[in-house]
Amino acid sequence: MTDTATKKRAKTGLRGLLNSRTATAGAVILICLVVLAAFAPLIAPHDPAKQDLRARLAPPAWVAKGSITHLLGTDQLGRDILSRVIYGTRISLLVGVSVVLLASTVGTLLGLLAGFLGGRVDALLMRIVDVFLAFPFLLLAIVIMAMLGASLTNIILVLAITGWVDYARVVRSQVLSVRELEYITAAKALGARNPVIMLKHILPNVVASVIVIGSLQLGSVIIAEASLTFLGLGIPPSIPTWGSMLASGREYFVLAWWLPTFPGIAIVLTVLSVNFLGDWLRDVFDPTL
Amino acid sequence: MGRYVVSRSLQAVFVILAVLVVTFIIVRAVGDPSRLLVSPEGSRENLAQIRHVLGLDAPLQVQFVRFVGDVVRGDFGKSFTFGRPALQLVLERVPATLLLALTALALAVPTGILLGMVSAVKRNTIYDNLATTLAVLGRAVPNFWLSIMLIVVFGAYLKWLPPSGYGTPLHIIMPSVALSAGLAAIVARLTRSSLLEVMSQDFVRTARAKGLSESRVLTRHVLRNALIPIATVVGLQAGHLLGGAIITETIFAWPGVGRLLTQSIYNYDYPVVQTSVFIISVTFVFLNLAIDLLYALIDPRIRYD
Repeated sequence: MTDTATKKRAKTGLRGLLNSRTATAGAVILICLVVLAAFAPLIAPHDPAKQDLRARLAPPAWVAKGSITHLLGTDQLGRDILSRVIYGTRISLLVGVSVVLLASTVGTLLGLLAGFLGGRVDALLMRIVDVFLAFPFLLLAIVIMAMLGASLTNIILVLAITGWVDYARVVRSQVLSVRELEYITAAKALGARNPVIMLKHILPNVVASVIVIGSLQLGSVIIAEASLTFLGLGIPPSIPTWGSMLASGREYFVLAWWLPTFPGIAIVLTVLSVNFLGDWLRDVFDPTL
Repeated sequence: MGRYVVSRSLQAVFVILAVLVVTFIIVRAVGDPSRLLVSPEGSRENLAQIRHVLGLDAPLQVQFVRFVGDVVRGDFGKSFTFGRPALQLVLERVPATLLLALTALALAVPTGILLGMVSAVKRNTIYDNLATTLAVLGRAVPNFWLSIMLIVVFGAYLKWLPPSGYGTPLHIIMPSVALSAGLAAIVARLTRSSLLEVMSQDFVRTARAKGLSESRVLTRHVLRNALIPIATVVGLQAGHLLGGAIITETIFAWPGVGRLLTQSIYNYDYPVVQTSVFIISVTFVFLNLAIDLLYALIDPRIRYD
């Protein structure tokens, strides 16, 4: 094994991850968030929807008049903020991961088709990509959500519809260079059919870039979901999410700083951890992206 | 160059056509707008009558041709809420949005470049760490949350700035800061990497060897070359400020196109929704066209891409 090969292997493995302080921090935070999301009913001290009007707008435990029962305080309806933040993790991660999976699958397949088949398919797909790039993505998402109505499925669909473009472009350009390689010609000469060549011989070459784009996209998807929910165009208010916590009770923010502070910190921490991991993956797999 | 201008402009025309189709679909899919005009107790005949007046009973392709004709004549219909021509309403709001977006741009670019320069020149020092942390945070903090926290801290607790509204120079400080943070972070990150790359090149060593002062090397030789990729990204991102402005304007009650759009969505005022979307998209398309053509003029290599 050559020196560079050894180096690359060391960088990609767990040891490589631990060598990067930011990537390690990202991984640790993300693991904690996944645990919180998975075991929310066991971890959350209260029912996130339970109202207690006598305990409304209680400050966090360490502030004067705060109590241990509500560590991060309560909102205008007396709901426990810590519990709502914990449950909110579920939605943010669910939406983020679903959107990235959906967008990357669609984008990768379309990119493969465009790059491999070329000609009219390619021209048509690239024009569609141009159109998508010509809209500010947030405007597109806002407008489609306004027409579909707020719901969990709709927000996932809308963010996937606006998110596949990056994958399609990158995959296409990589396919263009890979398809000219000799082993593809060899596969063709052996009589392999197009779908087989695309999925078995070309796809493995583009997977690394797809993973990098996905990890970098995850953070922006989480922010987009929270933003749309905040505008009332994302997840319906009945489900506790970070975006809806920031939207409801806006008139109390001035009285109770803890209402907007904690869900916001949750978003920032999540996006930071995902970005740290994404940056690391990019440095390891494909620094040109 | 001529051929590039023509093909790039044709592409822009194609995109605007697509914008028209999308706007058309939105209006027809948003739910039957005639239902919004009839009271729940209204009769079926009432509904049919209104559908006829709005032309919604015609076949879709006929509706589309009529729609394009109306757009060409600048007729986007009347606002349901304000009873005035939608186009007029939207155009009145354009200056406020432009003012906000340009102020944010004017804040983001120098801040980003400065942070990036500090990072690159003082590489691996506490200054670098501080500037990099700011840039990393700028990418992770959602624009709408930053807006809320600014209002809570500077508007409500400290009472230094008006929490929302429009009119005095004080009003624009918080919205433009909130809108510029993301872009400033991108610029800072890019400036750092771009400067570091240029600084390692031979001509910089030559400039130093000639005995130029460090500040002269930095401004005349390094920064000038590092600015090219920065300008590209600023150009690409400038249009996205329009998207971000939708949220910022809504939070700060800034009377721009973005706030008009969200209000119209809440009020089901579909002529105004359609017009705002169209105007924002067309501005975005022309902005991108202008930037692309400008680059082709500056850097001939781009044309052959």
